[in-house]
Amino acid sequence: MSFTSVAFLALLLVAVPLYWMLPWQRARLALVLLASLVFYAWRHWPSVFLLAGTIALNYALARLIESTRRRIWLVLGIVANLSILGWFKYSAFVAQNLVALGRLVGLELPMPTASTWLPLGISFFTFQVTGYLIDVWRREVAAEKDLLVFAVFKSFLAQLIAGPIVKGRHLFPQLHVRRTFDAALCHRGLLLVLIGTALKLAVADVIRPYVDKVYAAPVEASTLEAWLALYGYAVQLFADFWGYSTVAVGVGFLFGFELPFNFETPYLATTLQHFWRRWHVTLSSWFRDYLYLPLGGNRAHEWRNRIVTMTVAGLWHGAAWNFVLWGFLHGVWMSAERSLSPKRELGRWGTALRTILVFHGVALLWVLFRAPSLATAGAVLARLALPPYTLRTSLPAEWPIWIAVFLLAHPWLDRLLRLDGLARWKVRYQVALVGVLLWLMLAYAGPPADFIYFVF
Amino acid sequence: MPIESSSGASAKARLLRFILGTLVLLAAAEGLSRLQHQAFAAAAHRARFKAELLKGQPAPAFAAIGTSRFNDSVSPRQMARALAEHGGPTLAGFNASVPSSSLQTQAFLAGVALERQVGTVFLEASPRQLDFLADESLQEAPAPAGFEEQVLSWSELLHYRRALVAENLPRLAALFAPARFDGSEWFRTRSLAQWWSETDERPTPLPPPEVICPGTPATGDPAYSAALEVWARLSQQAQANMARIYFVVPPVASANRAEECDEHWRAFWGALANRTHRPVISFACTGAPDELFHDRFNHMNWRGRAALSEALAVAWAADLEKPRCEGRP
Repeated sequence: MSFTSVAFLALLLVAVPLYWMLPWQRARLALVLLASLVFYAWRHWPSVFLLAGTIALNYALARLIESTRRRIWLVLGIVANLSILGWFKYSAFVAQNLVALGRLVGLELPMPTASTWLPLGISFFTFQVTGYLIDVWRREVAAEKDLLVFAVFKSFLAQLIAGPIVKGRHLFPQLHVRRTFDAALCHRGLLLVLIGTALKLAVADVIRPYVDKVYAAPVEASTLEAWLALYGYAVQLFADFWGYSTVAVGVGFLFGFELPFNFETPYLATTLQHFWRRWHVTLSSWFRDYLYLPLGGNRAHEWRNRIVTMTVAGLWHGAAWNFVLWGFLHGVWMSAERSLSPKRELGRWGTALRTILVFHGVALLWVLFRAPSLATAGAVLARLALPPYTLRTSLPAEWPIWIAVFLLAHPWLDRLLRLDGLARWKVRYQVALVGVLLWLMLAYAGPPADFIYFVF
Repeated sequence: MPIESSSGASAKARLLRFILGTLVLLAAAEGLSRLQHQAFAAAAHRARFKAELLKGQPAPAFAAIGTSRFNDSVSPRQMARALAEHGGPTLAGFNASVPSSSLQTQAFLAGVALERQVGTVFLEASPRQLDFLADESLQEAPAPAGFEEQVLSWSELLHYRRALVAENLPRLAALFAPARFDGSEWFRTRSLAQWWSETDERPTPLPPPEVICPGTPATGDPAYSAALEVWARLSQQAQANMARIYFVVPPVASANRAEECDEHWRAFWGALANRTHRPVISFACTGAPDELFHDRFNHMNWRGRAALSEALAVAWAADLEKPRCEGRP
């Protein structure tokens, strides 16, 4: 079920009022679990059994880790979770590369038939629960004894498919306490759901067809179209994922749960490291806590640790070499940046220049992220930089305006969302804002499309 | 600025007001789209928009229907004025042309004009009008399937949401007062900027057109036989409605004249006259000066519009007085 579907709206309209009407916390949790399973089963019902199986497995493993303090249970848990992820997400990629490698040494291996079943959100809930097992091992959180609480922690519909990756110590206390209805929080949740949906439907989905057009045939694109697609995808991806995460936080608020915000004006970052502290914050934190720091962090082999962490992060996003290269280049850039950055304070113009440079660097690397193959990425990059330089375009004139307006307005919107600036608005202005958002969504939303991060 | 309390009665009241305000907004938008169902349906579609404007005219006596060439080059108001000056009656007209329209679109709009009891219909008959034979957007949408579609199909606002695109909003507004427009105000190309100039200046006269009457020995290109059938059906429909159709080949600039003013097309227009039993008024070979065109090919500017509107009115007045093709088969 997508956050932008009628089915999801119907689910919320039923589940949220019912949730607050129920007097018992366990009944509320059961309702949230049921709603989450319906939400997850809507697209592909057999995936629910996988979800239920991993809930049971990880509940038992966490209890074993805590009670026995034997490392073997942690290792088993990590291997089991990563094996499930590997089987569904990476087996075809591994097989393809083994077949290609076999050909190189003159061995003709049969290519197995790839499964088309990729459970939604598997990368997200696998990382969430793996982090939880490690936290239990590190005694940073107690193993959850209540299976119902644990099941809701792992399957809560707001964060199940594309994050934010919420830690146990953040969500468990909220799940145990029966909260009274907080009208202000609910009000904020509604606004976040609306604005997040508008970011998806009225920004990301409006830009998407033109980006797709350029990436479908980059050789035919003019230089201007290639550059517009570069900026367009930077905005599309951000609006898409920011929109998703905003709806997720909003849905959490509707049920009285506070989930972390995943974005903080990332395109205003002055360094790549800064960018990753502001983009997909919960994933960046996960990689820092469970991979970068255990590898040694800044203490030893900093370059290696960064590059390995970012390369793995690239592979997490997708089972393809372009994602691996994308992550690797981010790692190299971050390492170089730390070594080469001047220590003195930058002035106003220096900061602005660095922001522009970092944005363009990130946008250029998004080409690897968006392109279906390295060949396509190469073709797009070639159209950006190599002759013939042509300015012709069949893209609609409002498109660059749309991109520019979004880039200029997003810091203001971020303040409204994250810092709850909207709470200061009079209700009539909030309704007027809803009117504008509804108009944008109604007028400009394209054909329904999944959130980009649904496939990760 | 004081921050209102985030808890207690005040927060609940704010939430309630917000939900009610949003629901009222949605209900108002849905209600408006249901009350103005036709306008919403039409504003999102150029051909349906022109059709709806045409239906809203008080008493349209003539209509011009074609592609962007006709849209740019026929001003009903100027035609009506010229017709009156040349001894014809004082009539009101409407330009129902749509840029890049297909023959199917033309037939749809002609059908609307005939239903509206329009007495005379000028149909553009140009190679451009033959370019696009299929226009699926004029077909009825398929029945909704699945949960999502069935729920969404309940809402008129969602169904015609494209009417709210910024480009379409002026159309939506126009449909609330259709009688104020003669159709030529919409979808103009670059001549739009000069529209106010059209009233005072006398047009550069166009040389008289060639009138191809039925009975001219001619064989049409078999590739366009389907187009001939469409036009023949329209002609029959017009006859049944006591209306007249004139097929008009619009002028063309010198750069494109060789393409449209040749024996192949002359034979086709002859075949059209024979098949429909209606005259074809052709400006293709009149040698219209290039200063009348804004794109140096076939789209006329405001001077060209004035000239063609006058020339069409003159030809029409002459035909009303003494039909050129009378007595011919």
